[in-house]
Amino acid sequence: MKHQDAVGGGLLAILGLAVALYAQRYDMGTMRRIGPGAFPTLAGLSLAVVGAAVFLIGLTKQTEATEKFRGLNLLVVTASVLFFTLVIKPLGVLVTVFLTSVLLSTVDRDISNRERVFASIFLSAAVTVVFSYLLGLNLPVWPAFLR
Amino acid sequence: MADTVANLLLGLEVALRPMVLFYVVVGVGFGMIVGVLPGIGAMAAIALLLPITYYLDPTSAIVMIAGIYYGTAYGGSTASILLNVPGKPSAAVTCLDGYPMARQGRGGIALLMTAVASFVGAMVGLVVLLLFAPIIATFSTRLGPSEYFSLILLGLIASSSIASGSQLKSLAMMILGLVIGSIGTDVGSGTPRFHFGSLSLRDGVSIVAIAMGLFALTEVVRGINNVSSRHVSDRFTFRSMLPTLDDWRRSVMPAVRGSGIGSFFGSMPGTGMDVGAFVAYGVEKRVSKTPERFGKGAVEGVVAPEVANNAAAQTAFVPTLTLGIPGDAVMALVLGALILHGITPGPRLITEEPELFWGLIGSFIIGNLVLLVMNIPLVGLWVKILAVPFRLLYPAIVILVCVGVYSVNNNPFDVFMAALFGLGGYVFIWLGFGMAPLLLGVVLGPMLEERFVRALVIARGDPTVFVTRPISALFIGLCVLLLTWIVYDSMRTRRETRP
Repeated sequence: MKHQDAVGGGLLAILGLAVALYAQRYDMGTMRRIGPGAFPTLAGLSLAVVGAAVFLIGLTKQTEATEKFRGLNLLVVTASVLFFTLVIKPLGVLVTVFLTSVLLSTVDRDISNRERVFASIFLSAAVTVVFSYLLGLNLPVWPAFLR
Repeated sequence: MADTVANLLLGLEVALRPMVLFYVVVGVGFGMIVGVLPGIGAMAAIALLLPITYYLDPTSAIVMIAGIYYGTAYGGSTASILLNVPGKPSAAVTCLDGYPMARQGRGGIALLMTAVASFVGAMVGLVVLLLFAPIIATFSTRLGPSEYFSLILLGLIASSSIASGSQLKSLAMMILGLVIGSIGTDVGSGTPRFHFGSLSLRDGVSIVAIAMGLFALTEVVRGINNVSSRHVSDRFTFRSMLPTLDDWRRSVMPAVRGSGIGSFFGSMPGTGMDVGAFVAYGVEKRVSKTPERFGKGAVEGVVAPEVANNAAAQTAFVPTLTLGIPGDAVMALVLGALILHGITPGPRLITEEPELFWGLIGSFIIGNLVLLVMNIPLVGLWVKILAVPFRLLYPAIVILVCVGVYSVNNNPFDVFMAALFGLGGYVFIWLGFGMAPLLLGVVLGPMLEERFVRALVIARGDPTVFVTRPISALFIGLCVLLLTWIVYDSMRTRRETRP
């Protein structure tokens, strides 16, 4: 992308302004007793200023070739983690890890379905053993309906 | 001087008693493991072992807790180098050059050098602790909230020079970190901020979730099906794990500078391993004749932060032991443990409890030696992990992130945050922004704000207090200088390399 700095800077500048504006709902307080809104406002404004600077400087610059945007990877990884979020409480560690691992492996083109399942089983077993038993963490291992 | 030597010998004798030695080993071992695993930090580890310490004598208890604290400084770098997964915020800096080194097949070298660097840093920090503890203690009493504010601000701005690519962009990331850090309940007023109605957000965003999302998940996204980014090694000989003479030679000055910086920031209450590691890296990059090598596997970029964070870990005991003022949350726990055992830290600790104090010092020496000895053979083990092809590794990394983040609070929301930061983080990394300064901003933002508010309360609302008090003015002056330099530097370069 030719002016990627500008895009990034612009995004940050907008974000900074949004933060500063949103922070107005919190009490600014007085100079003697600073309120909760002051620091976010200052930080938001600083971000907007620096972001604008990056934006302007970015317009004059030419950056070298960007690396490829790995959209599919991003989609699969994000979806998998979100899936984990939704499923961990009802299904417990063992099942969730297995399913998430299968989901993650969909983006790997060279793996066979059998390998997928075996690797996922191994991973879910290993994770359960290490985290729940070895480290003694209080994680729900089995699905809710089995507990 | 002879006194100190005699005391050191006493300390070593105490630390080498079988009972005490056992707890040193337990402490540092546990600390090291905890440092490697993301999610569980030193605080959780100490909290877990604290009940056990009730049954121990004070010396063994403190020695073990302290061992956990500086043990984590060793372990944090392992996952950073191998997987770009920082075990703690200060390890995020080690990722910058450590991970590229691993990808170039020099992972074993990076691991070995961090182990040695950690030991060197710890020893220097220890010497500083011994020689300068009283002086630093007196100096710290002159520091008020305005000085701490200026110091932390200086540390934050100085850390903006670390990412390759424009420093201005890193500065923006750091400020974004400050903004994210203000999500949660404001300590001063009790008002929840930026929580958007969510109960979980009232406690702020989990730092573990942020770190995992920004570093681990983004790296996974970049690496899948990406042949060029993975280095596949055919054989790992013992030779390939050894650093070359050139590597050693290049590491000397970074070690010297890093230990000084780490000792300084560690001994100040309020700053510690995190700022120390970031600033040390930034300084190395600035003084280097070839700064473009940083971020691509420069050994200096790995040695400097590791020396700094271990030096800081040792000197962090200065304010805690001599003043009773903890440098960070973990130190506060150490302080609490001391008080639980009937020990009151303060200027009289050294004279009233010489066995404890010097035993602790002795345990630092023994503990670090133990860690060094433990870590070196482990390098061979870790290096095997590098040999595993990425396509087998990446699901494990993502799962580790999910379970690790979840295990901190058993709250799925934290994992959701990790996903969010992975998404946003990747977009910004793709746009050419570095994530390490953001992490530091999140960690230090609340502290910065607290000092700011307190300074103004004490000064009865007079904002000039930051520049009228001499020490604070000095730090602010340096901030201004740095900022001008950053702006000037970013306008100068027309072409830049990708981070």
